[in-house]
Amino acid sequence: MTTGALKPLRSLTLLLGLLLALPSVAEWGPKALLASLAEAVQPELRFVEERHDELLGIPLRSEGRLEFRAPDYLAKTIERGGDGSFVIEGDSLQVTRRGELHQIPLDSHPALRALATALRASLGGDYAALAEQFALELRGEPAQWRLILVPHQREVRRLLESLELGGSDARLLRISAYERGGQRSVTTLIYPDGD
Amino acid sequence: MPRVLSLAVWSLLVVAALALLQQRLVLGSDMQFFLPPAASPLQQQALDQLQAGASSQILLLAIEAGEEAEAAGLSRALAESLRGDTAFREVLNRPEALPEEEAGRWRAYRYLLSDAALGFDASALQQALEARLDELASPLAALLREDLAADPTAHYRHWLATWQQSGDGPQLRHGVWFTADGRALLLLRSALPTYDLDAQQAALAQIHAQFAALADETEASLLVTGPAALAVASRDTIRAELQWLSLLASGAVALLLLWAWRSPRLWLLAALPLGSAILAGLSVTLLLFGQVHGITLAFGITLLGVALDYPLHLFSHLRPNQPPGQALGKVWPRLRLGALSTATGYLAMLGSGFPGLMQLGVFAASGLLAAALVTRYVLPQLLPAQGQGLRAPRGPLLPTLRQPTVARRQGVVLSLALASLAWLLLSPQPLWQQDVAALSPLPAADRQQEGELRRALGQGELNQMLLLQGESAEELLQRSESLQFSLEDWREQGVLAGYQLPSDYLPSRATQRARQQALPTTAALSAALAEAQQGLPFRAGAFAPFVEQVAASRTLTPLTPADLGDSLLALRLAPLLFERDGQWWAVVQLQGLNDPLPLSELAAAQAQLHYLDLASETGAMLASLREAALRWLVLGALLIALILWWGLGRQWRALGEVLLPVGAALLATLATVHLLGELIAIFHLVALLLVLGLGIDYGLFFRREGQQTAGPREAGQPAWAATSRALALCAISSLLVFAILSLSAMPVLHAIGLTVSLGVLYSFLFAWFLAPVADPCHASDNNDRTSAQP
Repeated sequence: MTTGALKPLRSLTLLLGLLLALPSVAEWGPKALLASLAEAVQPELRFVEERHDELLGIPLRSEGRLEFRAPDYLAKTIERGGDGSFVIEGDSLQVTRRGELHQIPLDSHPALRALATALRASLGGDYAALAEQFALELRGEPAQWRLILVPHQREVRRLLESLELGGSDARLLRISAYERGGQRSVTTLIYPDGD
Repeated sequence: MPRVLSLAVWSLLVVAALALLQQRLVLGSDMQFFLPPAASPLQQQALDQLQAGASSQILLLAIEAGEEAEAAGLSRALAESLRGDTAFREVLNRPEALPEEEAGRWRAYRYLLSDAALGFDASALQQALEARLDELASPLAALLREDLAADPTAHYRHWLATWQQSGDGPQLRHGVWFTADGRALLLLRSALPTYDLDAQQAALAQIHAQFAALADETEASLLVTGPAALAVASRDTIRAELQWLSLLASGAVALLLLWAWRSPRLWLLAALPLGSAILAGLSVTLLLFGQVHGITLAFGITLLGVALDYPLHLFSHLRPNQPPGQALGKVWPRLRLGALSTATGYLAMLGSGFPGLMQLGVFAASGLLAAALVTRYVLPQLLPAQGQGLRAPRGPLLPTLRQPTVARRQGVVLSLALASLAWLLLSPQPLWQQDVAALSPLPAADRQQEGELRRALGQGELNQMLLLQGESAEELLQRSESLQFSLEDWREQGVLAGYQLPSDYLPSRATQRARQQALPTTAALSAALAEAQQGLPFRAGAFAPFVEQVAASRTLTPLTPADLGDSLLALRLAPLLFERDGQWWAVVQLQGLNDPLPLSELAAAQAQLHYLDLASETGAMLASLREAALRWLVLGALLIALILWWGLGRQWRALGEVLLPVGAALLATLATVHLLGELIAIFHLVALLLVLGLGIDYGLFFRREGQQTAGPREAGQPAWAATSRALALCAISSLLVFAILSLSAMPVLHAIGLTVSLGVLYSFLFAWFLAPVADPCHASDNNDRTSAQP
């Protein structure tokens, strides 16, 4: 009775495999995911952003560059389909548009702080910063995951209902923002190695 | 019978005074009372600005905690709990946001309130739409999109930006204001008048109580500063300092008198004239003026220091087993002359027209007269009728001077006086204190702290401003709008760093109407919009709300100040545009003024436009107060001289003998104070008034005794001894009190203490030095002592 002898053995290996797999299952959560993102941080990325807005007949498409330097420097430069560069550093946002520079404190509006955090902390893999602003819910599996961010503050939710980060393993591929009134924007990240 | 009568009258008056004071005494604390009455509506404005201007009603709070997040939490909680308190008009710990409902109200008026538009033609609209498109592509889209469909020209955002000045505010951390060194900042606007120190004190206590409840068991600390907090603190500091200094001084004087008389009875009785003087001064002032100012009380009691000497003169002449009437007979004529002349001198301040000085004069004069009357009519009745049980008083016995001759000694004192006068007139150092801040009783560090927090909050002292005067709010708003062109030019040239016009908040009705009339019709706007949208990805009809609201704006009634109700906008506008006594006033706040010249030139060229510099305005008021005090001091001195001349049998020589020592002492005191590096302020002058009163008594008593000593030896010697002991006791007790006062670090107490100590010392020494020479053959006892004298 080979099968009979094998059966317990197979169940045992299955059990062992399960036991071995358990720690990794338990570990895979928002915290672990962001830690893996933090390790694989890219100093420079390109992006393509598409905005769907009921005021617009067609989606608005823009492209540009993202630069990140740990711990808290993020620059977004729009090169096509718009104008301006946006530098988040420390507690302020520096906007350069049409040659004019404006310094805006991130706390001048709670939604601005939330948006800045979503961008900077997801690129930099900063779990604590994200969790301070948003309720996090991770869906999918390591190979294809979605992290849903719902702002804690009602004042923020009035403008920004939720954000969704999408990716594969330690790579963030997409940031979608869902605004009130059905507007949304989807930012796709393009990595230099062409993945 | 007269004994019973005088005691009964006195007791009745004391009871009446106590009852009156108990029921009606209100101590004023309004500082304006001691400033000269405003000479013009403009000066009145300056005073109002000082007391209730935007920058004087601010309280600045700084919270320090172990962690910034903790400080931020405390800031939020404290702001929350203080917002319910009616003592504060506004509690801010982050840039203010208009309340939702109010924002909606003003948003509807955006095309009347704001001039952001390049116009409403197709090309202007296209430019605006392109800018909005860029915003949509930016990370700020979620924030900026809200008003997009209804306000693509961003009129509302532009109007908000003109009056929110977000640029130079403090840093935001954890959602609230922070200083660079990590303290959470709050800005409160008080609803209470700055001069109502009692109410301010209660409000401050409330802040501290709330904070203590919130920060319970943490290391966090709270600093509260601002004009009102500083005023309350200085009052507290003066009170506390006065309390322990006067305790110390009273103790020292009590010991001295106990030592001199060895009689608790005399010691207790010595307080009666001064006590009665204070009661009389308070009651008479209250009856005449309806209130007594706190400063009148403080300065007035200082001036009543003369009354402390009256019982000393009387008691020093008491002899065992002699009725007190005998001693009284010796001192009363001089005491009466001294009290009458000094009181008249103080009353001269009535002519000054300054409410504060007038009160002070009435208080001191009525008090002095009461003290003299109590010494004359009440004290002898309370002393043993036949002088039983009295012991000869102790006290330093001064030698009578024989060498050099009186004329020589007079020459010496006169030259000292002239040298002092020369120093005062010719010294290269400035004589008068011009800086109001230097008179503040607070340590410089406290004021510096306030300055730091003010700068951190971008709430500089608004000392310079333009004032517009007119018939109506509308007129002033129109003129405010026309000022903008010059101010903007000057800002670009660096004359000033910034300015705030009332019309930034609310344009004139005329301007609102003009903007309304320039709005396009619906058909024209739709056509222009359609043209502007060409080539842009906006959907057709996306801006329908904009078209509707522009149309609605065409029929709005322009806003006036009266329409603003109790909104935040009204709160901002109120200090900049207001009515007073049927006149309208507008304030243009000027920030970072580098060169006042163009502004004062503009003000000189335009009627009903004034350039106001509060620092120099208050400096001028202080100077006029001081000049008035000085003028009335001199006039009072002349009156005193007149009465003395008459009282001394109309002899010029006698008058000169009494006045030379005190006059020289006044000059020498001023010169010495100035030599010590002090600038002369109003406090010094008040102190000199006291020196004048004391010095006249010294002169009167020494002169008389000197003359008597020159007479028969038997009668003369004991009288000289009694007088010299009495005067030495008087001088030492005054010196004790005021030398202790001069130890205070507070300018006002130090100034009074130092001036009076020096004045007492000089006038005592001069009066003694000038006492007429004792006849050598009659005063031979004193010979060795005289030669031992330097």
